[in-house]
Amino acid sequence: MTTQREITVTPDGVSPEQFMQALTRFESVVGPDNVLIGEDRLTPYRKTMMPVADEDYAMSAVLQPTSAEQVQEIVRICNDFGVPVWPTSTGRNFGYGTYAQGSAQGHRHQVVIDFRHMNRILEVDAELGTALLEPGVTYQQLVDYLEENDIPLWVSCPAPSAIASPVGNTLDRGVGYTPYGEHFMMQCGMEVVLPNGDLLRTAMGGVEGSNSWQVFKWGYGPYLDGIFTQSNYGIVTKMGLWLMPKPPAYKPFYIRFRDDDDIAEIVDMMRPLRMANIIPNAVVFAHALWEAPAVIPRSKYYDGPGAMPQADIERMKEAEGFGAWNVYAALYGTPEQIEVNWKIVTDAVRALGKGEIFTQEDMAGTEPFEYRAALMRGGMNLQEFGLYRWRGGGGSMWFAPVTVAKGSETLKQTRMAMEILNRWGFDYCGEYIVGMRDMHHVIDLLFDKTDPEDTRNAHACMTELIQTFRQHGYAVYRTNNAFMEQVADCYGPVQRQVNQTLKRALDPNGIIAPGKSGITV
Amino acid sequence: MFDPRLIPALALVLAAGGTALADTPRLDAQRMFPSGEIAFQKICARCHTGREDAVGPDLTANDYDPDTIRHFARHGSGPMPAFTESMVDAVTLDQIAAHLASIRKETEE
Repeated sequence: MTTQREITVTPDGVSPEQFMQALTRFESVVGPDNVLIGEDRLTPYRKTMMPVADEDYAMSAVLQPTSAEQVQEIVRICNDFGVPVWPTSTGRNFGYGTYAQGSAQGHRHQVVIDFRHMNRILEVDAELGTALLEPGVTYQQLVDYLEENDIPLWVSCPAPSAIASPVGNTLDRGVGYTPYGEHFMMQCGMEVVLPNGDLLRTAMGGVEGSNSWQVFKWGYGPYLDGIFTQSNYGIVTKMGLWLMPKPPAYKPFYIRFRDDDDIAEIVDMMRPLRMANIIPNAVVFAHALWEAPAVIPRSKYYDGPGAMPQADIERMKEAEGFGAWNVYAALYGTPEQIEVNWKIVTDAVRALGKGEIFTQEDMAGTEPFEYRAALMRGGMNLQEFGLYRWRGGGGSMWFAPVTVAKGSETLKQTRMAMEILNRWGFDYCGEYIVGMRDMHHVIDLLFDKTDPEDTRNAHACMTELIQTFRQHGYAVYRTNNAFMEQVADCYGPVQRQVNQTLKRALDPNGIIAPGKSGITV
Repeated sequence: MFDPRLIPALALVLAAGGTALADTPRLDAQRMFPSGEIAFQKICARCHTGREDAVGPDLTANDYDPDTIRHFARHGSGPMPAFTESMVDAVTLDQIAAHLASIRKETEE
């Protein structure tokens, strides 16, 4: 049983006595082994990559339920004792500020729910290409399941993803690189434990005996699934996903462009091909300083302070064969369809008059092409972990503004981001991930978290990026826990008020992830 | 070809009109990784096998004892994330350590 001695922190606003009582009740629901307290068991959860003191984001306990019924009981206990809980799919989010709590004072030390033990693959329909998953299922487990059962469906995954969760990534509106790369678009049906303990099944899931929960997204009346993404209105315990039928043929390719300013022409060339579905997947335009970390150490070309000088970047590009911009895309379908579309693509590149195009055969098993080619068919790998070595020191934040798929816009965003990052002493490690009409401009702000000055500068740089981009009408689609308030402000007071009205209606005691996306009671 | 006999969950769902899901097994009722070698390949190898693009030290060449491996797995270090018990359990960590020891022994022989 839990003892007072093992509790290192308690949630803000909850007395140690109340918390001990709540822990005892949690143990009666999920069992003592699934209530994690004490330094030894919580330490692995507490390491963050954000420019903050990790102890400010330390959780007070971790719960590991094994069923939706247990989650319902947990929520009821939380209401009884005013204990806030922060659900996470597999217990960690390395890239986006990890597992922790709302940044504002008053919301610290929440209890984290780690769903890693709720990892049932409940249904895979090979004919319809659907799956119904619990939140603790990882991409690796889903892919292994499909392979072991010889089911010809592809998963769209982020990079790197083996130990990440399809449900968690989709709830955070993450993206992948296949034609199903806009993950929330490929979601269909949810089961949600509401803050009062009720169990909601969205859309067709509400119809008794229905077999169309995973095929028809809308149901009847208001469409609810969206309000349970990037929010704190409920805890998703099941989710339906659409999986892509494996095509008869697949042709990944790479186009290299020499100059930073080529980004404008790349975007304008690729947009019509993407909108017409000639190229159906989430194409990537990766800058040289995104390409390099996946395959070489930074010290190979520059080991000094501040941002990598342009002369060294040029030297690295020349020696390693990187473009300033590196386009990765793929064609899918029958060999005949691919042949037709390949001609359209190569004609477009030829008409542009710049850009060198390479096939998989041309690249002959080299990196980073191979890991990119794998990602575009849902093949997982850990190649991009190299980003975390690039600067050293373990600091990382994703700054990911949305942009319109027009060349003039990307040129403007790229220049703005480079100027701000370089002035603070950081590299522009950026790429664009292409949607139909939008793009995610994803930048990894890498810093040395062991260096207090570098950490302070990283925080200030991120703040300035958000502010400056906002002044130009841009905002990020997702952020880490340390910047949720600032980003929520970018979307205006009315959205914040509506979000709060929903919160007050569904969760009047504010027990689910207060502070998430800047939403509180 | 797809063989529905291999997916008991699917058969159960179809028989019950798509709603009876309770008997589907949890994946962690089985071992998450069948061996230390496979766990090492899927979790550690990208960063710890001495390639030019490695992120951390080469665990197949350096002589780290099991306690050291356990410590860094649970605490992380710099760019290395910390792994929770639910990601990599204690048995798997021991298997990874044993696998690395066997590699080094082979190398020495």
